[in-house]
Amino acid sequence: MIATRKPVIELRRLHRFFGRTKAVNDVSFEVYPGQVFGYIGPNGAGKTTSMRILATLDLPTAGDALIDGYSVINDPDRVRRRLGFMPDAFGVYSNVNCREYLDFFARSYGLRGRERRLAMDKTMEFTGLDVLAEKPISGLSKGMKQRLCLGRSMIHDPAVMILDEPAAGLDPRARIELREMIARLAKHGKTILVSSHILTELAEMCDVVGIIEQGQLLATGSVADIQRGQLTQSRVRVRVLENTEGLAQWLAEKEDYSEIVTDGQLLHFSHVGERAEEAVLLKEMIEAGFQVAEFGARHSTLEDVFLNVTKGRVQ
Amino acid sequence: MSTADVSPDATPSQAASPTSWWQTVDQKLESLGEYLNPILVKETRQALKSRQFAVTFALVLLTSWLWSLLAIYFRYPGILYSPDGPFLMVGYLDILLFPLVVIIPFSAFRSLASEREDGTFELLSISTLGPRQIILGKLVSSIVQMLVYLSALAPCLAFTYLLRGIDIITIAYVLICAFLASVLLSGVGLVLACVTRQRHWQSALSVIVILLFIFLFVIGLMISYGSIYEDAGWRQYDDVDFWIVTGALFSAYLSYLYLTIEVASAQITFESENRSAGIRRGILVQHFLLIGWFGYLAIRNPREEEILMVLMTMLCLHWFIMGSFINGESPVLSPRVKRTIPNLLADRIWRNWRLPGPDRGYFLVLTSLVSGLLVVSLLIWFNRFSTLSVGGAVNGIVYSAGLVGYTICYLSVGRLFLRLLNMIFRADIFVSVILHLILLMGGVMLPLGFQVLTNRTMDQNFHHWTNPFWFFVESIDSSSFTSQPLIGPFVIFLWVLGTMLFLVNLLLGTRDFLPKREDDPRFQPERLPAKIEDAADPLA
Repeated sequence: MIATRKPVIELRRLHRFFGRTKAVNDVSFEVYPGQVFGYIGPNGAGKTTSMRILATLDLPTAGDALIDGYSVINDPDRVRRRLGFMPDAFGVYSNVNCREYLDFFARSYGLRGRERRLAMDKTMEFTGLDVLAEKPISGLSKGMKQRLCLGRSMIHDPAVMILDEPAAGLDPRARIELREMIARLAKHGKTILVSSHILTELAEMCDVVGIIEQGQLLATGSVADIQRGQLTQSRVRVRVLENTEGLAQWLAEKEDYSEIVTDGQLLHFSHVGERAEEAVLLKEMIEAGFQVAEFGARHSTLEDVFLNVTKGRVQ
Repeated sequence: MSTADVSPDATPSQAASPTSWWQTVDQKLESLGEYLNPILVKETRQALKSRQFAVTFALVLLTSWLWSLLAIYFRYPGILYSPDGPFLMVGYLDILLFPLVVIIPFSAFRSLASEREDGTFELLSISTLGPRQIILGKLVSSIVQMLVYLSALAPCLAFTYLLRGIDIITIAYVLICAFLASVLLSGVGLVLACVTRQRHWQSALSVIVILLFIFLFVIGLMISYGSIYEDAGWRQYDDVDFWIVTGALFSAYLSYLYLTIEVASAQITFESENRSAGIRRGILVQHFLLIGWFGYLAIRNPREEEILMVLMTMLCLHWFIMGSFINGESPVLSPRVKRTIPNLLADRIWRNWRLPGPDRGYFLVLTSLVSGLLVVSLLIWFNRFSTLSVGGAVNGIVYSAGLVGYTICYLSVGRLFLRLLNMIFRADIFVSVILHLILLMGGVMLPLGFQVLTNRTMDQNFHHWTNPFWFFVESIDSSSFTSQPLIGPFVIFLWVLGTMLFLVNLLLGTRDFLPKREDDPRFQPERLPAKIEDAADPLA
């Protein structure tokens, strides 16, 4: 995603203290139109608090947050009109079916007549709830309720969507479906801030991630950027037709390569650095006369990055 | 909407063009429904689909039929020629009172409480619906339910009229009273629903609320029996005064309903918004209503200074109760409220009373009390031109001034104590109300305790000066109390004390009294220091 326009979500030195607890401590980042920003961090890191401030449900202790250029402190009404918020709780009503539920929220956002009916139909079709329109909410599965809640948060066509742990408690199929829906929303120009504990999924759907711990933003950028910034470690596997021990010795003489283990024709080692260095290494191996039959590296995932960046501290 | 990959057939199907006038009416009504409060639409849908409504409605119908049959059976054959309308009416009204006084107000209470419990309230908060819209939607939904119950019993009520013994005005009057009581109780239910957010307190509160409504239902039963079956003396429809009193009571009712709506709305409004302005407006409306109606009565009956004394008593009670709440408000002005402060000094002074905060509220309470005293003094002066005696005028003035002096003293002492408490912990509205009650109790008990300890007789003397009830009872009991020589210096003493306490409070609150419109540097990231270690809670 090309980020040349003005940011749609902007956190400027955001602080939120609860007594001595610094739930959010000097957090700043920007999210540009059409980007999906993954907000990751352990429980109690400050994700939900920052999201609640963005959703105008709380005030910062200091700093500011802007949605589409409007401050959550000074222009909460304008922010609300541009924002769809999906909290981690479902928030559903009894004795109401799916259509009535969406109808209520469409009315609550001031949609009237044809505009409201059109918004409802499109939302139901998007979330796949059109076939369950008349079904009471109490009879819906968790996955379907989550779809309904996503539908509720997008019924007024907001520019920005904030999704707090949308995949929590869902089965794998429901998760995949949710992920696809988020990807489709981003494709249609929505700017999305999503938090989750399921990091592999965030890595797939997010353009940018921010890692937060103890209220502080530790790293922000694309997964690849963070990996580069972290000089992340990859585990390389090499198969040579002969002289495995010789290769091990050759490698041991070089810098940046460690944990060298041989196993017959196979050799494993760790490398801290950039991927391009591994390509150079392969070339050098061949030039040094080693008969390389297989060369592969398992690079660090978002999960590795997360574990590397965070320290598992809680407040 | 641009979010979905929507197929062309996703557009809503066009409604068929109307073929009959009824369909046209139906479509018009539907389009009218677009402009209804969304909460009303949702709540009505929910309520009419709920099992609780089905059961209650069925029970109301069943009991009313049963009552009809039983009443006819017991009164037969007398029912054929004697006016038995009131007898049946009491039964029908009692049946109706149960949903009106217990079920519907409790449903309103649960409806708002469950919004908080189920996490739907936050979703409403970030929609374009305002807190007042939410409260009004829930209240009007209760009214819809009331109308359904009333319409179900309409044939039975018509039956009582046919049986004679009760006229159509009485039936309408009683039903309107029951309906209005139900609306106000639903409003009270909504206020109580916001008292606490903690689940265990909510459960306890539910029990208290249902017991309260059942208690009121029992009182309602007694009133209905007394007013319809036993005593017909109050039905003076030909007397203008009856309708004037009805009008006065109705206006007082409306002011309390307004205040209830404002309080409930304030409780669900974000803490960072101005939650005081509406409530203060409601309190002032009640102040003016009291002055208006009692002033009118005083002018109509110029000889009776007691009317003005009752007015002053009610004003002092009104402002003492409201003042004890206002004194406990948070002194912190949120950045959102600060942004609403006008730039122009005159405008700022004029609108200052609407800003939240105990100092501004305390000043409003005191100025309102003094304005009430001025109005009463003017009315006494005006009535002196007609038939009010000098003794009556002195009695009225001294009593009013004394009572206002007491109220100012107690509220000022309360405000000073709260300042001290706020240095230790955040004393909220609940603490403030308790503190004012303790102060009042202290004022009453102190001389009584002294009397018991010293075994003295202190009746009718100034040893009781800390007790406002002593002053009240003595003044009402005998006009000679306010004409004795000591009373003048005593009232002056009260006023001097009150003024001093007021000045101390004013001095201590000067800094926060007239806030300016300013951008808080805390919310300007570029002006923040490199590292923030501590900062005040913006919602404290």
